[in-house]
Amino acid sequence: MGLGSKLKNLIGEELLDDIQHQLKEVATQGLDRHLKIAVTGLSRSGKTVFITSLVHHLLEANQSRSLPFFEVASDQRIISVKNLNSSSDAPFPLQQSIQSLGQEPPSWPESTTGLSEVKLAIKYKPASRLKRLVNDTATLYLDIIDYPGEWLLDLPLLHLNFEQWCNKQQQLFTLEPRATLAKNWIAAQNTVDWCSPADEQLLSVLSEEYTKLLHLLRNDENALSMIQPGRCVLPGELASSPLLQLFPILQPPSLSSIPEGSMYQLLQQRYDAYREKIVKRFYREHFSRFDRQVVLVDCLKALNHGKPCFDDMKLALTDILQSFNYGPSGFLRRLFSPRIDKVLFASSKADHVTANQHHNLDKFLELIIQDAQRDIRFEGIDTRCMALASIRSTESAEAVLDGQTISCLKGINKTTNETMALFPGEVPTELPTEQDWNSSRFRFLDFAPKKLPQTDLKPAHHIRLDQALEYLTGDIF
Amino acid sequence: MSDQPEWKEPVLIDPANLQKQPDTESESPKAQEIPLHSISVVTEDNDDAQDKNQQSNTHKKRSHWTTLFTVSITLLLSAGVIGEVYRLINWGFITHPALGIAFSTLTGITFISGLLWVWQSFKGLRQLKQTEALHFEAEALRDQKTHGQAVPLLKKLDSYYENTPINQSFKEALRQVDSAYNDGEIIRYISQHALKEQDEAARRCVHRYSVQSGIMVALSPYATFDMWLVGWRNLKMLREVTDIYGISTGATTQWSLLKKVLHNIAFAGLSEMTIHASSHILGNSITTSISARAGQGIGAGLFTARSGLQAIKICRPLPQEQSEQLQLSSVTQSILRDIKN
Repeated sequence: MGLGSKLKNLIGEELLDDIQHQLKEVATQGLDRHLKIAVTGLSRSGKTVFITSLVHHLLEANQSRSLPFFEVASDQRIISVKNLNSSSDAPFPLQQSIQSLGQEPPSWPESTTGLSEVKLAIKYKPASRLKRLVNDTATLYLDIIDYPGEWLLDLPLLHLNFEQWCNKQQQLFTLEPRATLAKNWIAAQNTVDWCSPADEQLLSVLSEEYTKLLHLLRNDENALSMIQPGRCVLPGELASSPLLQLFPILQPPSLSSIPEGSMYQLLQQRYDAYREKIVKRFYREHFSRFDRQVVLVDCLKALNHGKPCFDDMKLALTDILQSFNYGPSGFLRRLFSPRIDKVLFASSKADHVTANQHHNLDKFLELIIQDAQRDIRFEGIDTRCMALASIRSTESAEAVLDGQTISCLKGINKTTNETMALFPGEVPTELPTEQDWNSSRFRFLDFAPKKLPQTDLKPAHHIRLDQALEYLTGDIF
Repeated sequence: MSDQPEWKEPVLIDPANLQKQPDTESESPKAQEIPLHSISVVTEDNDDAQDKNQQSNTHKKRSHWTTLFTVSITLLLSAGVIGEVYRLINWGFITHPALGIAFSTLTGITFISGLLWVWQSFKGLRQLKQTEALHFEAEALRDQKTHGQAVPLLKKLDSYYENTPINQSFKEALRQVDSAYNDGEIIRYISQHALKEQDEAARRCVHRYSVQSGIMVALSPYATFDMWLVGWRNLKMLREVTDIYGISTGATTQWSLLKKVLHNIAFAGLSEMTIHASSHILGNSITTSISARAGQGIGAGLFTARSGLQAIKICRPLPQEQSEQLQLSSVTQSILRDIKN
């Protein structure tokens, strides 16, 4: 028995792993400034496009003047930005994404199915003269990871055991439209005796049905967000693993009478294994060490799909954000146990509404994240809401309608590929009433992206991306 | 249940019917807000008017004798001066026509140049007042997320900068303003980009003069002499700063600017006081290491730097982005370095 394994037995594998990880990070971080940004968002909220655009603008920051509100760039203090992707195990497909946005006709990048990371080294001239006395230039290492938003929904499972999870899901499945859509599956579940000996066949059939149900719930028509477990819909490298044959029991038997080897126990074991082996690992390796966080929310989706979608999104975001570490972080803390000390809530796709609605979009975003924001603020964390568009796909225009001038959008429809002009409706600042949801009050259509050139980027290629960057990283430079 | 919705329905518009959007956007105020608004304004107006009346009444009463005195003494003195000048010219003509002509041309030149000088300084004063009003307006708009309210301010700024060297960079910045920016962002953008060269030049100027006055005080042998040196450098700096920001320089302008600067410094906030104290501590530690004179020089330099920064703040029609503390500390550091060497 070697010393390593002895130590492992003594302290426990997890703790040792953590210590090892931290020591490694401290060693690298002590020399230079590191910043790890968490890009959080449900699936289809624009994480990949955000990262692509951010990195592309940063890489071009020393040549083009596309980030007027990002001080270090507008003062031309950025010397150069280097992409350290080649040293990474799972590099972010930056080239492909930029290419698909730069080709003719441009298209949105493919949605993410696996984990990838971006590492940038930004060399800049420090602003303060004192720092410049010590060193002419400084380097900031910026880490961002990209991952499917589906997996994010597993994070709340960390705090729940199987019984609690089942209870939560049970409440969820009493709500419309879930209850109606899942009627068959619930009925099938209710016929099963969970205390009977485990029947693998039956479980696999039920879990297959459950996976189908989850896909139905999250499709374009229903657009629900709270889809757990996330790996069931997007297994990644875990496809066809028995761990994913997992679903909640909506009518659990009384807990005192669960015999060994019963259906209930098998599912419980699977849940625990799923939580330990997949979720916890994912969290420990990628999610526990962040300095700054940007939460991307697609408010327009909620507006287009109505109250159930809005409520579900709110619930999902609130649950997810509870899994992150928040707290004030000084220099030492950033070195040893980083905590998130700044959170930016961004409603993406701000280019899909007219410019005078951006303020309303901010207000509406606050409605969705108000619970989460309250908790975060309580920890003394700086938060801010912002409407942004990583890539601007529309132009603003004006039209005269019934003698009244209204501002509208001009862009290329994503589905029909035709140039169209649209007045998409006003974004409400309060929760719309039942009546409003059902009527044709909102029509936020998806636009195809405008071409993003390889070089010579302009401020007109994005909306407030520079301000987001300034907010997230401005104090470091 | 009314059938009339409060919101506008989304519509598809034929792209051919579009007009390219100018920067302006018209916003129609909501119907129900107007009466409330006007009512409150009316009552306020009444109160204000009454207050003003009362105030002006008391004001008049108080200053009645003063005005009479000023008017009469001005009349008396100017009558005396005019009479004296007339007699002088008359005497000149009697003695010799050439002498008379010389006297009258001299009088004419004095009169005309005096008028011009007064006009120029009044122009400067007017500009300063305008700047203050613009500054106030921009400050209010800076944190707004609304749309379209910055347009009047931009128009005013445009006419303000008409026929000045700043006009070009202002127009350039205005062209680059994005259609998606809200009012606060427009103000911040223009403030950062339109006056970039001027800011840099003014900062260099302040820096130069503070180091000069610092070194002069450090080297001057007489303490009474110091004050004159600092005053002289300060006035010269103020003139240069006003010139950089396109405000016409006259004695009255300079005087009123100096008054404002000193007023601002005297009533500086606590934050600035602490900075001042900390820079003093810094100065003291260096004083002990170099000499008492050098320490005084640093103090004088800091004073010049502070008045220079205040002057920049007053001369800029748009609020500055970078915090004053940061600026002062950066200037301080360079002064320290230069004086130490």
